[in-house]
Amino acid sequence: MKLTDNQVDTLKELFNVGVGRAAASLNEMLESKVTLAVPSMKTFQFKDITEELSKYGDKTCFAVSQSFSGAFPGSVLLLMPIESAVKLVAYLTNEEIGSFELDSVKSSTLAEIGNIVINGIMGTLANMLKLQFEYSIPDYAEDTAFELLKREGFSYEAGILMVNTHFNVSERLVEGDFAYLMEMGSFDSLMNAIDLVNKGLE
Amino acid sequence: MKKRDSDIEGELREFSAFDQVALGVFVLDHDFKVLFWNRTLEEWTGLNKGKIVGANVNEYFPEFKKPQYLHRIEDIFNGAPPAIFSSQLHGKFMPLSLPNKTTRVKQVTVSSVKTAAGGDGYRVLFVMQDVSELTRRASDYRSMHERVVKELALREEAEGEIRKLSRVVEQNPAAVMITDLTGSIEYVNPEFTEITGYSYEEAIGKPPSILKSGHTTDEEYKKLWETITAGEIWDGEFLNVKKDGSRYWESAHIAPVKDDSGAVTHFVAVKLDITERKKAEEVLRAAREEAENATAAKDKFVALVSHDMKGPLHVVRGYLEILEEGGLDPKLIKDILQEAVSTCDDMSRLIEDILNLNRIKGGEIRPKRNFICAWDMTEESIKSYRLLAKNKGVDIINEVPRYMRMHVDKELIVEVVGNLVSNAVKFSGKGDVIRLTSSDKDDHSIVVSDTGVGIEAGRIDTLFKYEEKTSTYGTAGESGTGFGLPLVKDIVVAHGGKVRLESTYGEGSAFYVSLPYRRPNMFIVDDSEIIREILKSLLEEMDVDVIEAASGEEALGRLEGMEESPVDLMLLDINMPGMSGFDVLKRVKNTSELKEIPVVIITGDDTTETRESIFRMGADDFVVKPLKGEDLIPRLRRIIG
Repeated sequence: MKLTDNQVDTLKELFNVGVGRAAASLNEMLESKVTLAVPSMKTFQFKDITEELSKYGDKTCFAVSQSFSGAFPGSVLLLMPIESAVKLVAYLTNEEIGSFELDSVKSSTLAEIGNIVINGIMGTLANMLKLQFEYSIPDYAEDTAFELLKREGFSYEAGILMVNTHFNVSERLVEGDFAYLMEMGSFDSLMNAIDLVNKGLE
Repeated sequence: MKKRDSDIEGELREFSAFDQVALGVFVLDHDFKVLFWNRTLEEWTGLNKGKIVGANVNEYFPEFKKPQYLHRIEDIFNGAPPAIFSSQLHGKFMPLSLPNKTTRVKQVTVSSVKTAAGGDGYRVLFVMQDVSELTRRASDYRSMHERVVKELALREEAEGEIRKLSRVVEQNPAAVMITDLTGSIEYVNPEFTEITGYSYEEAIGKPPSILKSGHTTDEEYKKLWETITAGEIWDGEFLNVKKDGSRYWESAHIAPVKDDSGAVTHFVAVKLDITERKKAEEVLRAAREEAENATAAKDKFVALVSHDMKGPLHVVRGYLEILEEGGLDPKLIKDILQEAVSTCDDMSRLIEDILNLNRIKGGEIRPKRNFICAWDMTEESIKSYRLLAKNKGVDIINEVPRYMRMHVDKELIVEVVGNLVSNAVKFSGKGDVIRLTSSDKDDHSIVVSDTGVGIEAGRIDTLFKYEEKTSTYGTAGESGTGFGLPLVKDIVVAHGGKVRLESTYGEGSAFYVSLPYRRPNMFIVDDSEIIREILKSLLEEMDVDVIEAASGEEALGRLEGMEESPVDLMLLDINMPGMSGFDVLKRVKNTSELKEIPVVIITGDDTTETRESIFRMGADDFVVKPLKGEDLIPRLRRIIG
C-alpha cells in the first residue's frame, strides 16, 4: 500500500494538473476566484478506514461520487463535512450562509462542483496515463464519511488513495478530500502505470 | 437528405422511451444538432419536436455558445465523464430559460451515449430534472414535522397542567374536602388531615359534622345548606373541633360542583386554618384598647400641663401690666423684670421637659445601647449645672471610676444623671456637697448623693409618678416641673434597670441608678495564633470576653451563625490566606445585620493607600503591627468605653 516517493511526486503532479483544470472550469462559470490545491495525500486499506477518517468522526458529510469502469475500475468521491460544503456553496455563489443544512438547490450545486473537480482529475489521469474509462452519472449523498465510502461497495482489502483538497475562494479556505477507491488489483495496476510514466519522463 | 431524415427518425425511435418520463430529455450530435426532444420538454418550453429536431440548438438557445457550457460539452463529446449543470450556479435551467417561473430547482445531467446504430461516435444526452416538487414536498414535510413537534409539546404542557392541577389540590396549603349530595365525605386532602387530625380513611363516608364544635348555630348551618344546594357559593368562618378535641378557627369556601347538564353532583369545601389570624386579631384588638387608654391618659396629662403653662404666662402678663402703668420706683422695676425673667426661665424649662417627655412617651423608649465610658458620661451630665452649683456655693465631686464602662444609651442616661444632678443642686445650699460615685455593691451603677435638705419619708413614693406632678421649690426658691423624676424612672426601666432613693429629711438624699451590664464581646480574627495570644493578653486589662477565628471564612461563618450579633468589636487582620481581611470587612459592612459592628483593622502595612482603603471600606480604626498596648487600648476604649 505504501507509495514510493516517486509515485507520490507523480500523483501529486497529476492531481495538481487535474485540480488546475477544475479551477479553470469553475472560474469560467463563477464570478469568484477559485484556486484548488492538493497539499497532502495518503493511501490505506478500507479496513483501516475508521482510524484514517477519524477527523470526520460522526459528522454528517456530503459526497459527490462517480464510479468508473475500464482499465482500472473504481470510484472517486469528493467528500467534506456538511458545514464546509454549505460554506463552499455560499462562497462560490456569493450568498449568505443560511442554515447549515443542504437543501436540494445546494446539493445540486455541490454535485456540479464535485463533478467538475472529479472530471478535472479523472480527465487528467486518463490523458496522462493514456487510459480509457467508462463513467457512471454523478451521484451525491449525505451521511457519515464512513457510510459514504462504504456504500461504494468495495471489499475490506480495497485500497484508498486519499487526497486532501483545499478550495480557496477569495481567500477563504474550505477543506475536503478527494478519495479514489480501487480494489487491490486495480490499485497495483494504477501504480504500475504511474511508474511507467515516471520511466517515460526520466 | 432523405437518408438523413430517416437517420433522424431512427434516432427519434431510439430515444422515444424518454417521452414517457417526467424528465426533460434531449440529444445533440457533435454538431450541436438536436436529434431528440422529448414530450416533457415540449411541455416545458412550448417548442415542438417537429420544430427543433434537426435544427442547431444554438438557433433556439444561443447560451450554448458561452464558453462555460461549450467547453464542458465538447469534453463530453471527447469521452470525458458526464457533467452536471445546476440551476443555482448557472442562474437558469441550463441552457434553457423556462417560461414557468414556479419551477425553481433544476439540474441537468449531460452524458455521452453511443448510438445503437453505431455510426460516428458519441451523442450527448441531456437529462433535465425539475425537483421543485420534491423540494416543496421536503419543505412541507419539514414544516409538518415542526408542527407535530410543537403539538406534542403543547399536549405535554396540557398534561402537565392537569398534573399540576391535581397536585394543587393534593398539596394545597388549604384543606380540601369533597362531599356527595347527602354531605357524606368522599375526599379529603393531606392538609385536611394535618389540620383536623382525621386521616383520609377516617374521614371518608363521615359527615362534615364530625368537626362541629357547637359554636355555630343550627340556623347558620341551615343557611349554608340552603345556599349550596341552590347551586351558590357559601363563604364563612367556623370554630371547629379537631379529632383530639382542641378547637380551631377555619375560614371555609364551599361551592357546589355541577355536571355538564348543570346539576349539582358534589360539594367542595376549601378551608383555611385561621386560628393564628384570629389570635393576631385578638392581639390587635388588645393593642388598640391599650392605645385608646393611653390616649385618655395623655388627654388628662395635657390638661394638667396646659394649666401649668398658663400659670407663669399670667404671672408675666401681670408684671407687664404693672410696668405699663408706669411711675414706678426704678428699684421695683428691676425686681419686677427679674421676676419676669425668672418666670420665663421656669416656663422654658417646663417646655423643655415636656418636649423630652414627648420624645420618650411618643413611642416606647428603645434604648440604643453602646458601651460607653461612665466618667465621660457623668462629666457631660454635670457640665450644665457646674456654674449654678458654684453660684449657690455647692461642690460637685465626680468620683465615678475613670475606666468604668456602661452598656447604655448614652444620650438617655445623660438625661437621667443630669436630672438627678439638677435636683441635687436645687435642694442643696452653701457648703453642701454633691457626689457622683458608683455603688460598692454594683460595679456598673451610678449614685448621685447630696448633703442637702433631704426628702420627707411620706413623699418618696410619689416622686416618680407623672400624674402626681410633685414639684417643690428649691433652697433658692427654684421651681420645678415635676416631670424630672418620672422621666428618670422611665428611662432606667426601659434599660431594664432600677432607680432607688434613700433620703433622710434634713441630711440629704442619694439616688441609686443601677443598670444591667454585660462584658463586651471582642472578636479576634487573625490567622496567626501568636498574634491572637498577644491580643488576648493585651485585652485582659479591658475586662472583655474574647472570641476567636483563625480565618476570614471561619469569622463570617461564626458571625452569620450568631443571633443579633453579640459581637461588640471586631479586631480583624488584613493579611490572611484565603479570604483576606478586606473581603471580610466588605462582607460585614454590606450585611445589614452585621454592618453596625465596629471593626478595628490590624495591619503590618502603614501606607496611605492601605489606610485610605481601610477607612473607605467602613472600618472604624486600625492598629499597626507590632502591636503595643498603649496604642491599641485607647483606640479600643474610644469604641467600647
